[in-house]
Amino acid sequence: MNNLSLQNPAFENEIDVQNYTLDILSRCSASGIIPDKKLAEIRCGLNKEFTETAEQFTKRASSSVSRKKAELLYSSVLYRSDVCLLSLKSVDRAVEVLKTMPVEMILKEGQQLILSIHEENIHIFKEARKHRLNVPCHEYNEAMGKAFDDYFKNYSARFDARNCCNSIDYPLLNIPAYEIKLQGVMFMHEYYTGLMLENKFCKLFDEGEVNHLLECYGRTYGCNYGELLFNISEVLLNNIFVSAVLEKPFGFKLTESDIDEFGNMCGMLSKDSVYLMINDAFEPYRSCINDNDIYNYLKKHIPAFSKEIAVWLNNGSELKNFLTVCCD
Amino acid sequence: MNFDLVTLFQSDDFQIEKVKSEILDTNVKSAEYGLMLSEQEAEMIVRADIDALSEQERINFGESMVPKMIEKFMQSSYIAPSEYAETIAELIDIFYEVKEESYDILTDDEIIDVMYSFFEHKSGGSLEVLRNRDMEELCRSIRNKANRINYI
Repeated sequence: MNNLSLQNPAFENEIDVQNYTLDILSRCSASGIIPDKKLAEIRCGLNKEFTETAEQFTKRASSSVSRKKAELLYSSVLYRSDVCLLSLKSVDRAVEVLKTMPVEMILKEGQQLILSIHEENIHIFKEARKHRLNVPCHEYNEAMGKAFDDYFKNYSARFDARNCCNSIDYPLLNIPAYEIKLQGVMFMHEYYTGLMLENKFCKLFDEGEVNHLLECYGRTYGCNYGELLFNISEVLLNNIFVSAVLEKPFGFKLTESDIDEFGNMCGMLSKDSVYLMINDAFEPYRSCINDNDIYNYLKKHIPAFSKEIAVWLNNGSELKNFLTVCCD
Repeated sequence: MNFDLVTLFQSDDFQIEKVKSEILDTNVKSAEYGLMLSEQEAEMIVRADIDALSEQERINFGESMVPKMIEKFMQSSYIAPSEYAETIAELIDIFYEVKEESYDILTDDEIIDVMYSFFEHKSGGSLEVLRNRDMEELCRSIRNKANRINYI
């Protein structure tokens, strides 16, 4: 059997993206999908590439490096392969490439991809900054400033490819930064694409009104919202989902009775039914958002939101402590 | 099949023979100084190199620096024929210690040159003095400078 995914369809999701090449090679070696002769060639190719990288790192003036440094250099070599194979978006295609393409070509291809992703990251960041929100949220402002600067100044794809050289705390919609499995340029691409879409989404609304909503949000926690660590677009979007269900115009202003009405509508429904209801209700807002990338990105929040609503209702908790009452 | 780094760079018989051969090639020149290494001694030196790398948790990726070390120290006025192999083995040990203790700032050639210069003109041909006083002082000075720069 030549396909990893035929042997086990779950493989596609099980492969460790932080160790993609090695994980696939180890499974292929165990199952005999890649013959030993080819595996030996791959190993030799990785050896050569590591040696060249180490030579460059030491400016060809040393014959050895510390094991710690060697691990980083080797990991950077493997990262090139990871980027190339991950770009194929299929384990079976990755296996096919490993079987048929010289590893030197895979690494070269990966290197080119890293460079082009890095260029894209700069463009994405500029877009995100163009739509930057004016909020006193420290982690958001760090992500929108210093974090990318540190990456841009210090990132070394050659010698430390998995390290973005920054520490990002601001969470994206649905996912904290530390849960994003990707590393290096791919992490930056994923994270800042999300941030760019979220910024663009929030900029659809009046800045003063957004700030007012966030102040109301902060009041539910008894503090200034700038002191809280939360995803800004999530606060807007949660309210917008409710507006959609209540067939209100596109917006995030909700009264207490709006929230009660929403709670009553959801109270009788299962989590899956809540999901379907919100999913259908959100569709007409597509034209208001007028950007498929933003729309599709926001839609991915519906399952998490539906689950959260179900939990709050099952616990008998007040939805107005989860959603944000905010009206003129 | 294993793809981890240590396995990738584990010395195999081929590499050991290669370095041993390079070491024995140095006999052509060292004979002028009355110094020669036997096959057994060459093998002992190769093993000493492997052990020293392992002790200092380092990986050798390029050409072995051992022949360079031998070519430098064969000129020493302090090395007796009866101690030649053991002295080289200990110099290799000192070399990797210095590599680590100087934060890899010094190149291979720089370390070998400094070691030779100290050995001949400061340490009085004593490996103990070379290691524990002269190279240790040099490494401390390098670390201090490096740490001051990092602090700034």
